[in-house]
Order: sequence, then C-alpha cells, then structure tokens
Amino acid sequence: MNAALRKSILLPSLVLLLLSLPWIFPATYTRHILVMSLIYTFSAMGLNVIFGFAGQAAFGQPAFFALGAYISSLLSLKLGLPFSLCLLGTMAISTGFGFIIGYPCLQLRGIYFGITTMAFAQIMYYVVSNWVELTRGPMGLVGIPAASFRVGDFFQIEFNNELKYYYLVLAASLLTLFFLARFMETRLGRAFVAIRENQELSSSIGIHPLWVKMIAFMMACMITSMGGSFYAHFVKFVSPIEFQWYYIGLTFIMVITGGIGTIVGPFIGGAIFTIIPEVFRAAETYRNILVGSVLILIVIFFPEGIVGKLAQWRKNRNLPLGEKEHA
Amino acid sequence: MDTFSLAIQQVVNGLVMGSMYALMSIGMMLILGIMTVINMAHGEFYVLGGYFCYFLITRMGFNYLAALPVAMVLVAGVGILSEKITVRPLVGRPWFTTFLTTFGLSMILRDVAQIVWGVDPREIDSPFLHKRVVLGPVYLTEHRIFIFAMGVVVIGILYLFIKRHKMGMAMRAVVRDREASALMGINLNAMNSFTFALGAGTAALAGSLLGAIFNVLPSMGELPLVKGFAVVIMGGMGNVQGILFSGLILGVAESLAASFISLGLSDAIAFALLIVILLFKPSGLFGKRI
Repeated sequence: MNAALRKSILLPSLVLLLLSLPWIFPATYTRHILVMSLIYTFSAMGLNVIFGFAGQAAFGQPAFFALGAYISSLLSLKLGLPFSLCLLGTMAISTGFGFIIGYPCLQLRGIYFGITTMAFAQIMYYVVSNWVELTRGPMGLVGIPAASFRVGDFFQIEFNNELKYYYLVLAASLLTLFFLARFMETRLGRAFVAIRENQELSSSIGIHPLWVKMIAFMMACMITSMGGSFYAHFVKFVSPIEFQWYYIGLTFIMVITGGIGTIVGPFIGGAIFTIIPEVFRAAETYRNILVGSVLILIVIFFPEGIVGKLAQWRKNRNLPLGEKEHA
Repeated sequence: MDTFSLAIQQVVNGLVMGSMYALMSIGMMLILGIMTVINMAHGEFYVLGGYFCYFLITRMGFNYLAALPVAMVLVAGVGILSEKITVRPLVGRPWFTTFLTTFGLSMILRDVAQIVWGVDPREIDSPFLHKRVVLGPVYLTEHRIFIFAMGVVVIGILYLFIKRHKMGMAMRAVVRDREASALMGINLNAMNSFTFALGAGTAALAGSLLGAIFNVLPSMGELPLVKGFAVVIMGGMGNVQGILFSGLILGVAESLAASFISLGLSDAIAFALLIVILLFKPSGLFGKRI
C-alpha cells in the first residue's frame, strides 16, 4: 500500500470511527463518558500548544479550563446570552486573561515561568471561591442552560441529550485539531517550535521570543477555555473543585501519554485519560493513587507518548508516514 | 481591642507563621538549588510529619518533645525513598519531568494518608499549648513562642551547616557546578539523598509544630507547599537568611491582610507578592547567586 492510499484510507476511517462511537456504546452513561473525553481533549490540546509546541512548561495552564467554565456560565446566567455567544465570549475573555497573565509570566523562563503560572492558577481559585456575590463561592453555579443554536425563527437546535452534544463537541474538537494542524505549518507555528528548540538562536533570525510565546500562551488559553465552556453547558454545574490539582496533573498526563508536541497525540491522550478514571470511578478513594502512579510510570518509562512511539516504530520499519508529525 | 494592638498582635502571630514558612522553604530551596527539582511532594512531607507526630504521641506514648525528632527521622526516610523513586531515574532529563513525577507522588501520598488515617482532623497535644503568655498588648500561648524559637534555631543551625560544615560546602559546590564537583569526589547520588532527607525532615518538623495549633488533615499540605515556593522565589535562590526574612515578611503580610482586608483572600497574598516580586526583582528580595 502506498503512502497516499494509506493516508486517504486512514483519515476517513478514523473520522467514521469517531462518528459511530456513540452507536457502538449506546448507553447514556457511556455516551456521557464519550462527551467528557472529547471535552477534555481541549484541555490537552491547549496545554500542548504552550507546553508541547512552544516548549514553555505552563503548570497553571489547565486552570483556564475551570476559568472558561465559569466565564461561560456567568455569561449565560447573568447576561442571558445564547450558547454561541457564550462560547465566543469565553474564548475572547480567556484570550484577554491569557494576555494579562501571560505578559508578566513570560518575562521569566523555565522553572520560574512554570511556578508563576501556578501562582496565577491559585489566585484564580481563591478569587472564585471567595467572590461569593458573583460565583456563589464553594457552592458553585447551578442551572446553567443547555447549549442551543438558533438562527431567526426558522432554525433552532437544542443540544439537550448526550448524542447531540457528542456530535457538537466532536465537530468543534476536530475543527480545532484541523486548525492546529494547518497552523503548525505556518510561519508562526514553526516559530513556536523554533523557540522551543533554541530561544537565542531563533531570536537571532528575527523571531521575537516574547511575542511568539505570548501568542502561544493566548492560543492555549483560548483552546483550553473552549473545553470549559462545553463542560459548563453539558454538566450544567461548575464549582471551584474544577481548579483542583488533580485536573492539572491529569491534563499533563494526557499530553505526555499522547505525545508531547504532536498534533493528534494530546487528542488521543485526552480521550484515553478521561475514560480510564471513569472506569475506576468505583474506586473513588484510590483515584489519586492510580492517576499519580500512572503519571510517574509514564514520565519515567514512556516519555515519547503513544504517537511518538508509533512514529519511532514506523521510522524503524522504514515505512512512509501516514500523517505528518511535529516531533 | 483597638486597631493598634490588634495590628501588633497580628504581626506577632505572623512572625510565628512566617518562621514555619521559612522552615518549609529552606528544604524546597535546597532541593531546587542542588538538584534542579521542584519538589511537589514537599507539602506531603509536612502532612506526614504531623501524622507521625500524632501517632507517636497517642499510640506509642511518646512525649511531644521526643516525638518531634523521631517524626523528623521517619519522614526523612520517606524522603530518601521518594528521591529514589521519582528523581533518581530521571537524571539528565528535562527539569519538568521531575516536577511531574513528584506531583504524582504528592497525589499518591495524599490519598494514602487519607485512606490510612481518615479525614477526621487529629489534634496533637503539646505541653506548651495550655499556658498563656501576656506581653503588653499581645496574647500568646507558650507553644507559639516555642514554634518561633524552633524555627529560628533550626534555620540558624542550617545556615551554619551550609556555611561551615564539609557537607554544606559540598552542597554549595554542587549548586555551582555539578560536573566539576562530581570530579572533585563529591558523590552526587548521596548528595541527592541527603538533600531530600534534609528537606523532608524540616518539612516534617514544621508539620508537627503547626499540627499542634491547627489540626492535622490529609489535605493540609497544599498551602504550605505553594507558599513555600513563594518564599523561595522571594528570598532568592541559595540564600538562607533571605529565606528566613521572606518567610517572616510573608507571614506578617498574611496575618495583617487576614484581619484588615479579608480572611478568605489572605491566602492569595502569597501569590500576589510572588508575582509582584518576580516582575520587579526576579532575582528575589535578597537575591544573589551563591
């Protein structure tokens, strides 16, 4: 089989598989898990932009998921905006927060950058838990309306069950994936990787490190917050618990397992690591122990991730690549 | 109580807390400086210190002063083990890998503590807890004075150790240049184990001292951890006095904020301070390279 044929078969069959998944697992509960796993792929894809492509270990980045969930629910509860505007508004506001937080953080490098983003994540948590008038503090926000789209009077669709929501989030996440894949081919996308590989060298060829990293950080915030918005309108309840460190750890596991700095890796990792904790949900008390052990084992023994491993394996067999990777 | 005496009372309380923040941060600073490891499990060493101290007193019949060093040694052992599992296999890999493994370790230890000891708060009984001391407008228990004294004395000992002792000098050499100091006959693996043991031990001391004021809980390690990082960055790397002063500054700032701004937001002060300092003086308030 030649490369072009493989590629032309591989991609449509994958999409077909994703489209048919809710019919393969038709129970409400399994469909719920499928939707959640798609929602968390946004977190993983967002973190991958700043951590995987641009090489900046932004430990606080996953907090933008919770922030996005809060922004989206507040837009819909306080201002009564329809879902489409909530989503767009969340993306815009989160990008703004990304600018405000990214600018000071990115003055620093390496470890110090990582710790500062973590500090901002903590501040978000404290503000959200203490600003009771706006966020109802630890009680969380309830009664967030389901997502719906409306064009005039003649077209209206409400995403009120798992199946419809699955296709909505699938479309959005595949679109994001496609956008990222194309984006990484552009000059700016390549600049991200250049900064990761060598900041001094890339600034010597006219790449402005601060602004390129800023763009990467804001993009990451935007993508992560989209997941938060989808989450809020699906689960219809957000609380400060979403800021928990458990989710930060989990997001890193997703990115690393899938393959740091690959296009599809975080997508796969995100899906897998939403499903695994759900499977172990019965063992709620052991959940952190499981996730923690998996994190340690993966970092030590499996640093290239699934996609990275596959790429290695294919290179060894000297076969053409089925899809492009940016390892 | 008028505002002035309230302020003085809060400053004194803040100094007590601040000495413990400094004690937490010293270990984190040494681990970060010597091994380039952000130890996310440091808060769990603090928790374990509290629990070991509690059980040594209630189950084994130790008295408080005897339980303190024993708990420290036990947690130092846990520290050595942790280093073997999460840091040793990753030598030569990028620095964020150890961040992630120690993060995983922290998740594991926290849940283990919860499963083994439950979520009920435990009270450590200190013999100094019941006597009150009045110093002008300030009311204190003897225990708080004991905490402050312990904090300052232990940090003083560490300062002298790092300055004068052969091992301390070796530590400073490793911070300067890992490869060269290995060539000079410093055993880096032993150094790493020792650093982790030292960090875990001091964190355990902080946990068992503060555990007598606040209750011991499986989740109590999170705040000291993040505040510890704030202090490390405020103090500037590799600077023991700087850590002590920054810890005290943070403690005072927090307790003043708690009574004059908002109790809930006082925990966010550390992060706000951290961000301001990183922006205007990234090398830290007392920063100098060792």
